[in-house]
Amino acid sequence: MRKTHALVQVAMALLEDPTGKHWGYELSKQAGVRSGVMYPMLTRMLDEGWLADGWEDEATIREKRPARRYYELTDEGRLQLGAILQEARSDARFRGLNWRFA
Amino acid sequence: MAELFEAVASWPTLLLVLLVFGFAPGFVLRLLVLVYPCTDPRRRELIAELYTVPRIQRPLWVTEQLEVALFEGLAHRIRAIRSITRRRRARVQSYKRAKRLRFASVAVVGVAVGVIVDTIVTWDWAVGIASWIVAVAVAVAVIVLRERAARRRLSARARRRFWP
Repeated sequence: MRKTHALVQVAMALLEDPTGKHWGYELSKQAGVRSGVMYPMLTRMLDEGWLADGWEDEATIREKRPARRYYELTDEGRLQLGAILQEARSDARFRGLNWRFA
Repeated sequence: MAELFEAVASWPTLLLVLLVFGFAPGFVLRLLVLVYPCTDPRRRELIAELYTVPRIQRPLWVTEQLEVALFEGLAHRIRAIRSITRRRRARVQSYKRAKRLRFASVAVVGVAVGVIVDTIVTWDWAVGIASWIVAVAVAVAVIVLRERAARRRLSARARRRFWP
């Protein structure tokens, strides 16, 4: 996958909670990436096996809304995205990013 | 100032606000997700995500989804249509090949039967022609009966695929 600002930002957002569930809208807010860029990226990550997806349990929803789709990092995803972040740290192109993930 | 308040608090403004922030986002998004193939989970996902977006941001968020739907959904749909067409073409071709094979095997059997009957029974040309006609008639009858049986076995859906 091509290393872009958007990918690095999404990787940072995902790795802030590497074992948790991530939701599309919240992830795009957290990463600061437009949904027009983020959703195709999530699809590619799913195809690569970096993410696994699932649907929210309807019994746990308190609001009046349909179940949302969540994304979870796989072991492979944690490794690959960690490596991307490591590389991006030393890359001059990504110096302007706000590095939240340690 | 009073005129401004009046304009803001008027019925048309209220209706416009209800339309833009209440009805339109959900309606437009439901139309947009139709671009995705019906099996694509993004359809359900985008509709479910809409209700987590703050109401004030919904019109803009839905407009963003137009981009997603056009670039991602359209590509998915084209891929899905291509794969369905390819599968259907392969099925039709394999059906036609099987039909040709069946026809060829039955024809060979029919001609063989004709030759044997012709040889064994008599060398008389009239009987020979008659036996050839019988053999061809038997072959055609067998083909027709087998085709009918095959058609009956197929479900309505499969029939649509094989005989589009």
